Amino acid sequence: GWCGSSSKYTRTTELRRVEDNDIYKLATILDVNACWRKLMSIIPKGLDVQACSAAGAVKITANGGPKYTAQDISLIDGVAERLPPDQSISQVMIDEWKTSGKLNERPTVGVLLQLLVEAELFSAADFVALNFLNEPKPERPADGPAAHFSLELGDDMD
Amino acid sequence: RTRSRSHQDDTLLIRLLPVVARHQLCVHLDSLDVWQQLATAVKLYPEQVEQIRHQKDRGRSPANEFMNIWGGQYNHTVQSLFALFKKLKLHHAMRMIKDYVNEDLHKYIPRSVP
Repeated sequence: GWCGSSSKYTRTTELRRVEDNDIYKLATILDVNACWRKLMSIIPKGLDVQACSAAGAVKITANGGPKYTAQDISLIDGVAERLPPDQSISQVMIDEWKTSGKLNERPTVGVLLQLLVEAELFSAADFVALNFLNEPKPERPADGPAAHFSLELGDDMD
Repeated sequence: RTRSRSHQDDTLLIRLLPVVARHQLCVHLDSLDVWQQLATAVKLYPEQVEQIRHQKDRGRSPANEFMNIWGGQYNHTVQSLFALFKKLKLHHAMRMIKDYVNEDLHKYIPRSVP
């Protein structure tokens, strides 16, 4: 087993080097509520991946615009329609993304994590932080649906 | 006054609730037709509210779709769901998930009226 402080991957680990079983677990989380679409739609074009893998380094609004168009997303939908029902559509999407691009454009775990936070896909982001990187869960925004929702211990208490 | 408990909250995730418990809870919430109150209270985005309405129009459970979004995408816990039910005074719903939250929170559930 892993000792307490070691992580399975680092932020610069390329996604294509991540074990299939780990990608599969992530994919099942992204399948819920079609979260893979949100991730795919914000992947930026022409990332300098090694420079972007560290915490807080991705400039999402990078000049290149989005890597994938609505048509690319429909293509994944088309592939998924021919999949057996127990197969993960998110896995198809990640398989396309992880092998795409030139040498320094291939996505890393660090890039993935930051894009998940940017898209507010916190189930997947928490999973990647804890299980891939052995890092604390990413911070939540102060407002909106992702914000912490806690018990109000107020005056309506007897 | 409010006091935040969020940073001690490492309890069960909504998305890991047992299927039967989740189903019974959704049946109850749908019978009360409270999905819009739930969505408003946690500040879902307009397109997410539309998505729930769309599922409802197709005959699917709006409460289940709410949990797919709020629990499935955002990784909120059953304790947060309990807090949400308390805020909206959904006392029977609080009772239905009490076995999945810490016992010291049970005091927030009002006694049931006979």
